Amino acid sequence: MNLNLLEQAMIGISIGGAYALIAIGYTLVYGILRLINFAHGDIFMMAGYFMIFCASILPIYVAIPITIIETCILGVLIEKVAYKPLREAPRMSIMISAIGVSYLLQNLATYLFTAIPIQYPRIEFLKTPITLFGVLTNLANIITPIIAILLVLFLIWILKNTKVGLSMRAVSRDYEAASLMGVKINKTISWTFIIGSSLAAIGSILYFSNRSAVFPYSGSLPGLKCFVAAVFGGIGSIPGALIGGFFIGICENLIKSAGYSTFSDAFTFVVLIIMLLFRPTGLFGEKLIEKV
Amino acid sequence: MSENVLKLSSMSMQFGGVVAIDSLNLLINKKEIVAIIGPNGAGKTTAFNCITGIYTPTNGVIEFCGEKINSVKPEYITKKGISRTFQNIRLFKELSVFENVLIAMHLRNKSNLFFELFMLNVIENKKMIDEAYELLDSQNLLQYKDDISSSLPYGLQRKLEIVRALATKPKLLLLDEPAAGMNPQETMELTEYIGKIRDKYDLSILLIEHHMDLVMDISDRVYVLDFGKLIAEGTTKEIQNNEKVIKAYLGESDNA
Amino acid sequence: MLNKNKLINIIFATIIIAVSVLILVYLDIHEKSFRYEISIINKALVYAVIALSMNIAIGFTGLFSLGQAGFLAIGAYVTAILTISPEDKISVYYVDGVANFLQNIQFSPVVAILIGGLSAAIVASILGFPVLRLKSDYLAIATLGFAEIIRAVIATPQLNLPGLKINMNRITNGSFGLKNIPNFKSSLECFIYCLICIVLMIFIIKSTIGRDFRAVREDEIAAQSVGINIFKTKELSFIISSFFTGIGGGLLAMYLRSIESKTFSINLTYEILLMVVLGGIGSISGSIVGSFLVNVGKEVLRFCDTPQNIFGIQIPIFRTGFRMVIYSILLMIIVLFFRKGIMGGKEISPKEISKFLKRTVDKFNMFINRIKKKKGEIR
Repeated sequence: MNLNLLEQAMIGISIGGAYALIAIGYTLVYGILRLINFAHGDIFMMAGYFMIFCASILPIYVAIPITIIETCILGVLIEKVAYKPLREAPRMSIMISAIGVSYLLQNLATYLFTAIPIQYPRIEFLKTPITLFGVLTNLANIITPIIAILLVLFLIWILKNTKVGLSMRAVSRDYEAASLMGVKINKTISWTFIIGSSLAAIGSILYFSNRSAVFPYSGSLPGLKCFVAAVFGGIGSIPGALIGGFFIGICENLIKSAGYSTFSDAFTFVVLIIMLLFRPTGLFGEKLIEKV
Repeated sequence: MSENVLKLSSMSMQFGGVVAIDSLNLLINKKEIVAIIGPNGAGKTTAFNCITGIYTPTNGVIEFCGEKINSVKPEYITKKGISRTFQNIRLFKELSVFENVLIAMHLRNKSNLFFELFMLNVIENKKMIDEAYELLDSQNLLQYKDDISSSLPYGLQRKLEIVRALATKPKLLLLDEPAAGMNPQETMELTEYIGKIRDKYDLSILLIEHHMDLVMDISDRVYVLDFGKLIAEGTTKEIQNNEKVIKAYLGESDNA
Repeated sequence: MLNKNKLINIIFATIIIAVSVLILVYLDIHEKSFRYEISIINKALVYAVIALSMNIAIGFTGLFSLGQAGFLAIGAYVTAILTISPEDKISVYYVDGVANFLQNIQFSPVVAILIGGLSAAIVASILGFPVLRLKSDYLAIATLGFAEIIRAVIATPQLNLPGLKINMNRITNGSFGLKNIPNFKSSLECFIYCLICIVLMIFIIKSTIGRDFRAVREDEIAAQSVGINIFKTKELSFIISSFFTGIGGGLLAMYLRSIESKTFSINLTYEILLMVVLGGIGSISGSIVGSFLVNVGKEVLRFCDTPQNIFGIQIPIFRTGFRMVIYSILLMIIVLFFRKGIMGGKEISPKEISKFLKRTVDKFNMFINRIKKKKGEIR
């Protein structure tokens, strides 16, 4: 029984790592455009399909970087086509546009790849069985949270020490002032989408290699959950997104293991509503230091 | 009973460590026009926001017709009879001029969903619409009745905002920089207009203004704020010759 | 002047309604040969109610609420449970059987739909307290989450709350869904239900209450300054919107005849939102037009889903799913380039139509004049 709990917790941490990577995408975009990028979950889903097709013709170690690049291109493309023309429009219009993109991507995926789930390529390396604390698991489960944490540290380093990072922080603080000070807004936003999408692609590889199949709607619910994770940690805060991702992942799996699997999805939203009621800024929302 | 309409007794407002208003005492009598002047950032608009309930003052008492209104919500303050305009015009932009005025009359209309659905308040609604007509007519805005309010020229938008405030039938009217952005001709007309509505509706008026011509023309008394502190008060004459006021406006210099 | 305008509008509306009734009566009489058309019309009517109810919150009050699917589910399930005949219930609840207190209940559709709407309104009034204090995008996510919670509650076989165990299978039939919901007797019946709902909603939107909604949408601080209680107004709008959404859910259940929790996913909300956007946010006739365009359009585009032969060559892009891709691309075009939707926030009324006609005639004249001028220049 105890062992089972430990096993579930470990799976939870692993999924949480993937969630965290996606949640960062939400947090970054929200920080800069003040937009819930409803299409982010679907970008994550498309990354799954990209991987399937790359891996079918290329060796895995080539397929992974190509998948990441393709996902970045998709993310930037979406921004240029669907969000950029609405920069001056009311908030609601751009949010509707995001929902429209999400809808389009899902329909496009259904058309191109059919609604039938497609087998995800088996990455042997990630499937290596490992026994940790007496629980038999695989390398993917162990490696996901580690990768997530490393990437977060790397991202924080980028934000602090590079020019792109500085302009991202500037834009997120004050959009207009930043543009008056000569920060290239469009370039900064593109970079934001590149970073968010590449993290989503990495998250997607780690997430799906434990799931085995991708289908057109497999992005929508994880996407929303990750947004909740971002809100939980405090939107705009990168460590917040990481912690939020882990929290949602772990809780969800513990609830599943307790036998309420239908409620594991709903639980996320209960967390959201409770969080918004008592601390609308999330765990780290007030500390503006890491805000992006 | 007491003749004063509004009375602030050592009202203070702090935001974190910043003291926006430091124990302000202010009195407005019936049918009086009182102006608050002062350099930018002196806390004038903050005072307005405290009076209209947008902020709750950290200290002191606000009395309206002898009643303490410290932490009353904005909509109830309006119902009690204080109405205001805003520094940067806040009309219902996409709605027509007529609707702008009509909405301000809702607060005296005892309507609810049940009444509306079964048309039980037709008479009352008709009365409200007639009143709105009358008001617009008396203020010479009737010809613009169906225009979208944001399409009006700037001066008329200012005027419409005042008319909208009048539609709530206030006893006290707060005007936040009514002449901002107006040319001298328009300012003169506005000055006349403010005097006129005071007489017609028996109003007390508190206004914030930077146009000194307007302030000196119509104010009965003037309060001068600087950095949240009251530095002078009195009739226009007294203020014009007050050294502190001149210093606050022109700055202090050694050889002054 | 005002009364004359109103009179014209009422006459105009009456004519439209009369013509629709005549058409529907004709279709109903020849029901056998028009089954497909009737089905589409009914669907569009039901969605018009739902879209308009969503527009009350989004377009008229500025509340970006995405909980539509949840309220639809409440309305639909309540209606379904209350209208399925006791005999059918035995076969519908084949898994765990039906709960005792529901076994012999059967209401007429009107009563059941009303109860459905009221249930949705009650849930909305409770939910409104916490979520309506949130800012726009947080409100969107919170209501979206609420819809998911409702769906989970419906689909779960067993609800274990502290101190309370409810066997949901015996109430909602869990994830197996409900079948044998009585259908509309005729399309005229459906039309009358929808018409009543739409007229009531128009009434509310045009009343002092509706004006308050729009004031809050335009400027909350200004609205407060003229004595409007922001929270109360939002709450009222949310409740009214949810009430009619719940009723729309009941109508939807009657139209579909069988429902399951999957019907009420997030995508249903998105679809309704897109109808509202297509017609124009904040336009009553827009929502109705939007609903008809989407539902009829989807049928028209159906050819995209089947392989097409042109000159004997099969075009490879025409296959299952292509229709929805076209449809979503069209929607994106509307969202990006015609932000105000087809109606642009205006209404269909004789006045607007005559304005529109005048403008087109003017444009046409200008066009002709330009051509004449050019001809003259050439000479």
